[in-house]
Amino acid sequence: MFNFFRRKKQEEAEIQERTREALEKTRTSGGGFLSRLFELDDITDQFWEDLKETLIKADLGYNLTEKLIQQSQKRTLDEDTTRSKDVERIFRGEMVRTLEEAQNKAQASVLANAEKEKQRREIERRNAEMERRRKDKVQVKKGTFQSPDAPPAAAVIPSAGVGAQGEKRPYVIMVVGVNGSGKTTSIAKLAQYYRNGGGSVVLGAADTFRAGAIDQLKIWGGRVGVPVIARAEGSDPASVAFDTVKYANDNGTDIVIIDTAGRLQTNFNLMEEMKRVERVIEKAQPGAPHEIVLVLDAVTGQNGLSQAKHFSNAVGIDGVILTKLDGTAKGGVAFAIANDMKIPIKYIGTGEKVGDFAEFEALAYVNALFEK
Amino acid sequence: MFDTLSDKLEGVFRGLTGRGSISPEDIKKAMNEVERALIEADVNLRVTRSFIAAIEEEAVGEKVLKGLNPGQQVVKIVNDKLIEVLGGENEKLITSPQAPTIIMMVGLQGSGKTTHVAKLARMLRKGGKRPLMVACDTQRPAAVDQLQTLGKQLNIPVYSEGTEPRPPEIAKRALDAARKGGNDVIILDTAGRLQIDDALMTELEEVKGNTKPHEILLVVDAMTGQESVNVAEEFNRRVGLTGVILTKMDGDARGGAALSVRAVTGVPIKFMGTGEKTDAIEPFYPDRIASRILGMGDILTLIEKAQQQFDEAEAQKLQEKMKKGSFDLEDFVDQLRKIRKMGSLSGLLGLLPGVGKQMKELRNALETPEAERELSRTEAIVMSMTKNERHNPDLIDSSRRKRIAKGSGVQVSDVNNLLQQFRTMRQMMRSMGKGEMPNMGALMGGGGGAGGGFGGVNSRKSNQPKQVDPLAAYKSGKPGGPRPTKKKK
Repeated sequence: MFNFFRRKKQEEAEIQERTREALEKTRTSGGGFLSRLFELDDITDQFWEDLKETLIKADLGYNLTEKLIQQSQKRTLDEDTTRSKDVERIFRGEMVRTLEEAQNKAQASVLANAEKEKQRREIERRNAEMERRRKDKVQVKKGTFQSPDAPPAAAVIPSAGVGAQGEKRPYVIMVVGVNGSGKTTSIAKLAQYYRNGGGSVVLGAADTFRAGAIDQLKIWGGRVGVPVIARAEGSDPASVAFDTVKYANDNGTDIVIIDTAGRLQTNFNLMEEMKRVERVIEKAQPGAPHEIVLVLDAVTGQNGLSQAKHFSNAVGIDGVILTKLDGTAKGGVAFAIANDMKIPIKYIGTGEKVGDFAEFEALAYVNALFEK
Repeated sequence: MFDTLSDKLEGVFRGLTGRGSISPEDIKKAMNEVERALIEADVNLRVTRSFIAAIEEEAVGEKVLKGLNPGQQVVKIVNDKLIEVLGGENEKLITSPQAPTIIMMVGLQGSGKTTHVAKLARMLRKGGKRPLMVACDTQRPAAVDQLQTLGKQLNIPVYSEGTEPRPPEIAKRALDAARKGGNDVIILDTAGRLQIDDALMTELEEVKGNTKPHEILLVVDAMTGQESVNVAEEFNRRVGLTGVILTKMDGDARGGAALSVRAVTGVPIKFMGTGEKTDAIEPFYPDRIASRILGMGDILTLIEKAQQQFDEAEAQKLQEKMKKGSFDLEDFVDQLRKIRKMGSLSGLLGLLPGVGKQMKELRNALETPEAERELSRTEAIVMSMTKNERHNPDLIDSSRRKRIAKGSGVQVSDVNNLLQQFRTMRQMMRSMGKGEMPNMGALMGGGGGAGGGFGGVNSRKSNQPKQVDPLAAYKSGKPGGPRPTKKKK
């Protein structure tokens, strides 16, 4: 997604610096926790036991830990090596593969969706064209007809494309997660991230339940410099989401980010409420939300799997924002989610400032874990 | 799902009972299963290992070796040991003999501190105290607003100085405010912080130094993974904890963090948060968490909830009645009411794999407007009968029928239909009582049986319902089936 950004040089340097800083924090705390294990010449049985412990302590869970170790052991046997350098390479590869499989699958579904959206737009375009032809045959004959499906100006940010009438459609992101995972802060960071890329952003304060949530988002909106659409506390969250998408459509905003109330995945009523928010967004703009991200606290243990499953069943999750990685928690359950459900990690949050944020890259991240 | 650990342990010990002795290797295998179960419940690995060591000692004892069911016995040992480590009895909040009692809340970001300040305050006020909540979280945007909003909702005073002054200063001045305001409990809300953030941890020490709290409570999210140990140890080292509040226990987290935190700090877990509302705080029950850690917790909670609707003893009585055929109209309408109340419960049950589909169908069936109307009508008819008539429906002759119809605002034929359906159902129950119960009945302890009867009432025309499936009437062409949920993309 970074590649779509058209930035000024200065900004570019600034972003790179921020990303580097954000990653630096994970390196100092979580990073390198695997490197010590490989500080020996030959791999022993004790090594595998130590590796298992390390992975379990990082919250990868029993199943993924066993899978990674078994596969690595098998490859080690295949290559007939006990040199720690080789084993490190093998194991590193296994980890990257686990993460990238999820990433690739998500990428494939993004492409499939883009194709679907294209087809939908094509039908819309044809209908609109028929209508126009009927109304204004002359113009078409003269060749002054402008295809409304002309490619948009090179996108600087993820774009939902243009509508039948040629108007710009906002790209809608819905942010969900359990209470206290860091949704509101992550939204501020996402907003800043897209602002840096040159896009216009609007936030929707659809967490109308928690006391102070609306104020919190408004304060962040003020700091980042993006408008926040809100109603009174306790009002219908779906209506707020609708208002926000409508605002973006009316004002030609590029990106809509909808905050939602924290909810435990086992709360039937609240999960239904979230589904309703999604349906209303879809009503406000067909094809939206284009992206639904689950915010996951890195300190979360194996319950993260339950979160991913339930949220995914309810609204379909496109990716995970792994937050609070500036602590000592490694967020290993996100690896387990990627492995079990092929849901990729998209972004990482590493602090309370809006710049403490980076796009997740499997290779770079795994490398950071091995850094000495 | 239900007793995975029991199942696995039984697998390990299967076929060994005849042999009369268990090898150390069998024990090792069993302990591996216990280890896996604890890790999956997020008990810290270090805590798990020392826990296992203690279990192993007991498990190799005579009892298990000669027992008839070693698997179950190991589970029992683990369960008992868990309760022991978690602390046998529920520990109360420390209150200072000299007012005010000062409570300080600490923890990571997003663990639920602010919400639990409000919950504690509300609980204490209920106990006759006059709490003051103090907004010392100057970090998170709108944290002060959040506490003030909660204060307004509960009508409990909040002391705040905005976000400019330093928290240790705010806390100090809050003590004076409390003395002037006559508050006998002060609850300090502090900003969430990472235990490795030295600057913020130092600030916390300062808040402590300025206020000398009687109670320093660590707020821990029940969903916390392996890190819970490091967090608890460091907070304990820096400020000295006196207790723990385990939050978000209304979810499906197994809550292994409770064991980890307790094991490394020795500090008791005093409360658990069980919902978003400000009254959702409960004393901590070690036994409940123990079974939850072992993977039986959800079921226990669910059974408890179900029991509010379907009391076990009552269900048994009902089954007895069904067997004897003394099931009367009063029981009938009673069951109808309970099924109605089950709406939210069935939603909860629907989240469990296995049980889910059936319960969802039942809920959808019960939520149609037709079903609602039918229920109220049936209830009205039965309520228009005398007690004697309800116990003894055969009493009801044609003049009684007229009276009942008038009383409930229905046609005499409706009363006739109901009575006929009831008789059919009673007959059905008699045969069922001897033979096998329908599936739902087995699950809900009698509820399903009534459900079957209910179905019978609804399908008025058929005199001999052949199905005992509670959903039978609804499956056949009734509107309001499962709403097709849109699968995204």
